Amino acid sequence: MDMFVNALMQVFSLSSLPLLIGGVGLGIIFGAIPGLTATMAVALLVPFTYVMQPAQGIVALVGVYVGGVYGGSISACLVNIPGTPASMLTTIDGYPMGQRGEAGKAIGYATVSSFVGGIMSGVILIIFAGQVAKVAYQFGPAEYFGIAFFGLTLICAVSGENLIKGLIAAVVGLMIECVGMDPVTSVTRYVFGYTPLLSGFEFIPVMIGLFGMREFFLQISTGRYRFQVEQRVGKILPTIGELLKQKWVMLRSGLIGTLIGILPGAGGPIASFLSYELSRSTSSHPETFGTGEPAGLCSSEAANNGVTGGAIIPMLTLGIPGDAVTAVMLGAFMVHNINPGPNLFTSSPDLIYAIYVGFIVANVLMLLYGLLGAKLFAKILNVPMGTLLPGVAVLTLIGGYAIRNSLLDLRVVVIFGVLGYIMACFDFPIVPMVLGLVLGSLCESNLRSALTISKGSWLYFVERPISLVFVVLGLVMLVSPILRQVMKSRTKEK
Amino acid sequence: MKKKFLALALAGAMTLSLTACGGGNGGNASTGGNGGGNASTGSSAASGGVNFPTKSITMIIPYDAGGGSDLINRRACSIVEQQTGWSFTCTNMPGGSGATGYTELLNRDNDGYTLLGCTSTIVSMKQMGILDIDHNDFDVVAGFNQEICVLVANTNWAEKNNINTLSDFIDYSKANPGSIAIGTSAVGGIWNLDLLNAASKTGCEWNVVPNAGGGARAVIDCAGGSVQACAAGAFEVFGQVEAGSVKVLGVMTDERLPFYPDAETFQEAGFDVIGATTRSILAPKGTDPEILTVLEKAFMDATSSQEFIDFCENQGTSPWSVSGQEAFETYNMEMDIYASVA
Repeated sequence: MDMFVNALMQVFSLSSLPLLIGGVGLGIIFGAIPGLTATMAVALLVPFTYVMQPAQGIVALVGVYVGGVYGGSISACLVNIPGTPASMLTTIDGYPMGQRGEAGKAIGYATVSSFVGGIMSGVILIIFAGQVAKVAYQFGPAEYFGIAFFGLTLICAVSGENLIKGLIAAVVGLMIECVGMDPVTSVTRYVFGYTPLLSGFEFIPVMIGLFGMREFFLQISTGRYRFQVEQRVGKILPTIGELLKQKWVMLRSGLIGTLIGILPGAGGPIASFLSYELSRSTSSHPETFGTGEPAGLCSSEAANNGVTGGAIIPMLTLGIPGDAVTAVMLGAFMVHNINPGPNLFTSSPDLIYAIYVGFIVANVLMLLYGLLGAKLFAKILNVPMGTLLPGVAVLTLIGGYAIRNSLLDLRVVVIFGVLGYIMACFDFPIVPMVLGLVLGSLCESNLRSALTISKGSWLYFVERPISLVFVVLGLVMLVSPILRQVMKSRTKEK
Repeated sequence: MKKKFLALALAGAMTLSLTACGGGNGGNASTGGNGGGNASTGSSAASGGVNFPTKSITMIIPYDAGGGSDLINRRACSIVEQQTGWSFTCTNMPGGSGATGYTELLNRDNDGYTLLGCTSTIVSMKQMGILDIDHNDFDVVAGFNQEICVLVANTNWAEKNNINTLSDFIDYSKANPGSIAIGTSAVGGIWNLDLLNAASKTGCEWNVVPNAGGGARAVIDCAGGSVQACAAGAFEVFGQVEAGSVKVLGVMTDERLPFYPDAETFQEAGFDVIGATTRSILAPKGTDPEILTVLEKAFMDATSSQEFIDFCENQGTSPWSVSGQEAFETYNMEMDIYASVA
């Protein structure tokens, strides 16, 4: 208990609290700008922590992380461009809400559900860190393949009205994933001797091209930017009653996010995708998903903020980063000569408690920023689209370049923007394509590693219980629509 | 009207904050490229000593921000800055295990104002037929760090099979050919090549499992028991060794590592196996030798400092302060090893 009080005093001290407040704010800005991610914000700030006390510096980074993951939802709701990959699913319902004049409400839902997801993961972090961390060890190549396979079978669910077009988009995503050095054997594929392509297409430029640039092209070609959506200014936040309706969705999605966060390498997009799909399939009105359904928005946002606390668990307890941001944070620990791992709990418990308290406080700050700022953020849409869009387009391009200072990535943003535009013209959905890209690499590399371990035996996936569960779930997803159709036609015959 | 102004101001503030960040991160990538060449060659011709540097030096780091190579390169540069008063601009250009950065350096001016912190992939990429350039296409300024390849085993598995030393492991491997799965980096990665070299030198038959996530992921699979052993960087296995889930059996260097004092070297076990990724500073080919000497001295002074040595050892990686020539010869040696197994 003493430790806890000390940590509280540490976090609320005059030297730490401003850093945390600034960190969360900076994170939100980085998150909101497409292409600038929480990973980048944390990486940029690590050198500044050299001069700080370890606890101060790391707590500030935690603040940036929490803010960054949340910030992605703002641009997703306002301009249909996910600020971070994890907010991709937020665009599906967040943007239609904004277009109904309820942008403030959408941001309100996103804020509260991010908060719930974050706090949920924080509680699990604080109470169960030691126990659940072991889960990370249970996931070898076979289990990751299981998750990726299950995820791929779910893609049809987010395909919108046209299943065939959704599947085509997903396959295109899988094909794009093949470009570059083979992740396992390093054989080059579709590189054509062009060195910058060796590591394939960087994910974020592809994503902001497909979402961001496509949106600009669409607005310009349809002249949609000339019409202003009048935002309801009065009482714009969702009411307590409306929020309470989503409580189970938020809690469940926060839990899924935390669990996925613990698994190194899975990350935010997969967490929000799985919980979105779960909410949709268990909803009594699945047809409203995609048209501005609060439950869809909440499940995506609660899940991706749930990932934050989840990803911190293996980082602190095992020294294994749960995602890209925690990998960078691990570097910050090293700079201070601290080695995360089981010994951290005995060697610097003060730091652990400071992180716990800092994480919870960061989430509260995020809630305050979001609720106080929602009105202001929503007003961005009152700027004439003709003025706003060019600005966002410039930001998008800068973001695409800044990922790895590469001119190729700028071309990628534009080319995928054109591809996205063409797809939109023919009603091909984008989300399945990006999911194909994300899940494809997870699926491929782990399949190959697993088959090497088993010396080519496919039984390996059935022998290991966790992968067996996922493979069976995936097969059920694949077969169930066919079975349903067969049943239907039989009852008709009778 | 007031509201509209507020909204505009907000949008403007967002743009500004972005350009500030973008400038710090990306904008500097082009500095130090053009224009400097004439000045430096001119001054060297006029007098014996060169007036270098007169502006900020760009250091390309061909790996992601926040990773091991990034941290150690930045630390080396910052110590040079402290000791000499120079200034560096570090720019990350990740991609293709360093290939993106190497190709970029090839196109930069050889005026000493653009450098790159490479790893041994500068040698392996050509051996694998992925890239057509190697260390011969650059000037090696100085070597500053080696990350030693180590062989670790899952603790439970090792205990169950009474494997306590490297020799035990090799005996077990020979008694059960092909039964041990060893995780490591992707085919062509340094740890993968080093492991293949160890296999050929010891005559063991192992099931080598390449991992797309590199050594850092492979060691987690080893800790979880999906593979029985793992070959990865000393730094990458550090956390899991501390956690007790894996144990270090052998190190591929000629002396035991201070942070794993109980692990034998392969040489102690009777096999001439050396394996590491060697980090050096590269400059574009044809850089003025006098400038190279200035740079070499600055980096060797910095990397032989106690601060740098402590930084490295705390991270489980080996400080290594050597001349450009010595680093170049090390790469030649690595090239022979890779050629024999690739």
